[in-house]
Amino acid sequence: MRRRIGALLYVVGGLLILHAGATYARGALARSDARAEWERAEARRAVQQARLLDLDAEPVLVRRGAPIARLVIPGIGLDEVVVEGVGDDELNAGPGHLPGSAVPGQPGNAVISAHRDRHFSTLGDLHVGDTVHTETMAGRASWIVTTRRVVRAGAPALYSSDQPKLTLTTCWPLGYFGSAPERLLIEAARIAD
Amino acid sequence: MRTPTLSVILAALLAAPAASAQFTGLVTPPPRPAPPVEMVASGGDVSADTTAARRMTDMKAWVDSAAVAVAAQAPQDTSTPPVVIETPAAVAPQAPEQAPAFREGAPAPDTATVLPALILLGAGLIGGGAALRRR
Repeated sequence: MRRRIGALLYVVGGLLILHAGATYARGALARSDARAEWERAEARRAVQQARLLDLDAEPVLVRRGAPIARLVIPGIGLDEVVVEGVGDDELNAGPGHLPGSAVPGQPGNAVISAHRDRHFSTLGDLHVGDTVHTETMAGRASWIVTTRRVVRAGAPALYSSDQPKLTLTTCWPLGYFGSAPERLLIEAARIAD
Repeated sequence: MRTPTLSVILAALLAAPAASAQFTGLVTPPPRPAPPVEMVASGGDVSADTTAARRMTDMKAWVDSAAVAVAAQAPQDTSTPPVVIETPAAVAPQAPEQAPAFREGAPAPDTATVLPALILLGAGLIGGGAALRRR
């Protein structure tokens, strides 16, 4: 009887790990696809340089899951392609751009979120004064971290801005097992390139 | 009369009422509905300009009547069940999925994940299972 229970625990535990591993694997594949699609878009942009969008232009609707920007944070060794949307599939593929928020570089608050156990696992090491770089089809922008705060999960946290603003969010604490109760918000202001 | 011949005649006499339907030479078709009156312009009307204008205005009625005539002449198959074609309009509209979007004072997107906990739980279960099996 004891051996049967042990075997059952083996199977259930194995299935749980298999499920988590499969989710991570799907995320890695989606991340790779997003990066490849971003590189193709960059190649097209190089060809169509004359038709570049203006940074102050109206935001363009992008389908969910499509790469929308590239996020580079040298201080923590982060280089990720940001996809549109913050649903499960999008966040599994990479950092997600919150629909309705500004595109990085445009006037307004651009919100980018990611899981703490994947793409933003080192976001806790980012501090005020660190630099962040973004790249979109409209151009490149550099940012400096101005604020770092932790709020409760459901607390009001995101507000619009007249000036270009970048907000990075993830769950907090980073090492929490289970559904994290707080959110880490890092806000950055645009600086001259 | 020989017995086989007699039995054949007897069988034919007895089976004749039951087999009568098979020897029926004529099947009366069901009455067909009267064809609708077709709107055909006469040659004299065509020659006049005013008639041509009237034909243009009556075109819809003429097309409708022609469609009715074609439908009436089509074979009426009652054995085949009617085919129902579902058009996109017939499908009940679904409520759009409420996707998280930016709004003033919105909370940070839900980036919470249980995958690390699942891995920990799975490892614990495997460890427990191994311990049980060793004893």
